[in-house]
Amino acid sequence: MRRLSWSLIVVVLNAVVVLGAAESYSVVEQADFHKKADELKLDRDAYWRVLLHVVHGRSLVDAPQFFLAPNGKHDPRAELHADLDAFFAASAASAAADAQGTTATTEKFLDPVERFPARCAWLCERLGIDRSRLPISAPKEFDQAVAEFGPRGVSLVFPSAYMSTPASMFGHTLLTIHSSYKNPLLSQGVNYAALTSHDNGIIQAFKGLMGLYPGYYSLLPYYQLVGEYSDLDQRDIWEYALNLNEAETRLLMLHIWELRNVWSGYFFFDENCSYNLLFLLDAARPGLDLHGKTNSFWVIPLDTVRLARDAGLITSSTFRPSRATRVRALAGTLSSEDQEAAYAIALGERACDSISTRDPQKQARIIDTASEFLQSLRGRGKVSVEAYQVRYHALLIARSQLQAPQLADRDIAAPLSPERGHESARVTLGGGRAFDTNFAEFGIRPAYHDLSDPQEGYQSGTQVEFGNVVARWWHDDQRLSLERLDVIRLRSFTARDHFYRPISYAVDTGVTREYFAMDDAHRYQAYLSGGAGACWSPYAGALIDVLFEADLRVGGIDERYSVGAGPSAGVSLPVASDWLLRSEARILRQGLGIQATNWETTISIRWAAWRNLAFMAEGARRARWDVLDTSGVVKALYYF
Amino acid sequence: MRKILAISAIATLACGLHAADGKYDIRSNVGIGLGTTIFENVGDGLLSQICAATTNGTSGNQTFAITTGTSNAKKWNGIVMNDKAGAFVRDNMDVLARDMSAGSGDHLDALAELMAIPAADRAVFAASMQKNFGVIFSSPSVTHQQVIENIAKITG
Repeated sequence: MRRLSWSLIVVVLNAVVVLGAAESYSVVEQADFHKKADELKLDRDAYWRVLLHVVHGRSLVDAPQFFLAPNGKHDPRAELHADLDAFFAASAASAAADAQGTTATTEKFLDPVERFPARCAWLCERLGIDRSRLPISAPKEFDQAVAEFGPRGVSLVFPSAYMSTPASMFGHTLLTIHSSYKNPLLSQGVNYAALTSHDNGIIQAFKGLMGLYPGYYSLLPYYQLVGEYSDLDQRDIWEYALNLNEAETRLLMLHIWELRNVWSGYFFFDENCSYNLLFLLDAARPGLDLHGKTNSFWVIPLDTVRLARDAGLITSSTFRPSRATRVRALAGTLSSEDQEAAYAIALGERACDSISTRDPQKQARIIDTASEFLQSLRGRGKVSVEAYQVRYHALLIARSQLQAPQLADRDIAAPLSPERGHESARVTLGGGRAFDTNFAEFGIRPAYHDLSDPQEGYQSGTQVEFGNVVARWWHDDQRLSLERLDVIRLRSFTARDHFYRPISYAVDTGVTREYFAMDDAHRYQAYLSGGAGACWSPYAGALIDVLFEADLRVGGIDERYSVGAGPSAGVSLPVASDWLLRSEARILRQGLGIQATNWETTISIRWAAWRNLAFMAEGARRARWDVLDTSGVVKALYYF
Repeated sequence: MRKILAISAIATLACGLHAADGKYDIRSNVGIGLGTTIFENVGDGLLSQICAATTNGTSGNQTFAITTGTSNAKKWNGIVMNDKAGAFVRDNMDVLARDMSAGSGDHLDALAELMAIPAADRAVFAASMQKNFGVIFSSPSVTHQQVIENIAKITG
């Protein structure tokens, strides 16, 4: 009895102490804080705008649950005051559930402090609010997760261009947060991507371009992302370590917490994966303002890596080769005969014991090549699960008998880090002669890279051009003309080797100015052309491509359209490190509509003087719409 | 398993890319084998990849979870095989198999770290995995469950 009454007294005393210690703010004090927020103009503070993703006065976020004020999306000040009210009044029981189209399992809803820990922390700090006097003083789940996770740093990850896919040629960016684990595979990946449904390819492309998909931030183990990109074969990954310290990493995580299940319209050109990651970096280091440094029209992933570099964030880079790169590197250590053996073994046409006479190191290397390539085949659906399992297992059993190290990623020669290549936009200035007249030429291209641009940092044989415009001032006629406007020009010339036999392709569309001798008239034609074929690489950086092309033109004279087809061939020969010789030849027999045999041979030589400055001389002999002409141009190319 | 931040994965199929989904459950009876966690491309066709490209929705997996996974740890003779290590084996079966057969590799190192094997002991661990490869990956159709148990038995 006595013990019970003592316990009761202790309990009561504790309750008094607990209740008395955290004396919450009175209504008057709360009103003072609201007033102070307005006096300090906190709603206009750059950091508040980062946390709300405010650009041009309104938040880019579309999910209603990101805002506590009804018009929070359009009114950062209203949102600030609504949040303050919520923090003062918070209680777990009164919070409303997140119900925006998620299939969230039944966890208890999260109070405002748990939902918006970054906003709470910042507002309390700026206004001098004592958090222990708030009904909910800390985001418990966040603190717990962070304590277990132990964040210690951040990397910016750039999976490079996937050349078989036009739109992924710009690459992608994501972040990884390093935990107390040392192995980078065990870090936490942060990814912003569109949630696509079962739409087909064309619809997905359209919706992605038009902002019709919701984009979400997701957190998932980095090794899962590595696995995906590796299995997509061709995407090498660059990991850039950033110099965010532990406190800054924590700020980044505070803000990520606020973005759970929060969607915003995904726009391929500007509000895409790379752009939305910048808000996280800006939250980590107040004043960074990377998102404000992007241009208004488009955000190219590689450019965001450059922004991080220019802001002094990047400390080092690590190259993580794709599966295809690994296969090629492994094969490069084998003789041609051994490469054939590896290929045959991967396809199940030969057994492992057919190579048992070779020395163990060689055997191991052949098996490693075969097993890696076999995974590649599986990833492309070219071998069934059952056949794969049997073959792969047998290969690895054989491998386990051999004492020989694997070829480690760090032993594979890394190309120049992509952000050190030339800048994305280009202007050209030059002069030349065509149709027996001199001309001056001016060109501008917003993005990105062609076969003759300085190749360092870019994948050989890739071309992605958007919006290339060329104008000429003709001396004799004293007139300026728009010579061409290429909306898109793509090339994917990937060399075939023992293991990979990709199809090389070209796709171009735009408008060109044509001269029709039959009518002595200049006319504009819209064109769409495409070609497919093969490419080989005799030595590093060199290309030989052969394609069959088709060409559709609208406009011109007479029938005002023309359709043609024919073969083309090209050679790119790099010489020393700065010079590139390229020659092309093609014939297009335009057989429908306006008829002609249009052929051309061109030769160009390009010198990369500096990273962002090059010079080029080009000569061409063309027969086009029954006019034979020899032309030449010399120009300077500047990248910015 | 205590869920720190269990917003459940909205597993979607983006362009037929199959995302490894769900929660690893040490008690699960569903076995994953070799070659089943590899993402199958629909093909190298332009159109089939455009979606993944324009949306960068390669995973389509809207997981939002900090995988701390030190819970549900089981100890077999002092080696920790917890949820996170188990999930790692499940998600990386093929690469782990290759690393183990070679006695070295990044993924094998990561597994050792997850299993709390001290750095000084990892070379021995790797050699042991290679030596016992046929026991761990006992058959072509071995499941991740079996692999995990085999690893634990060998390292115990």
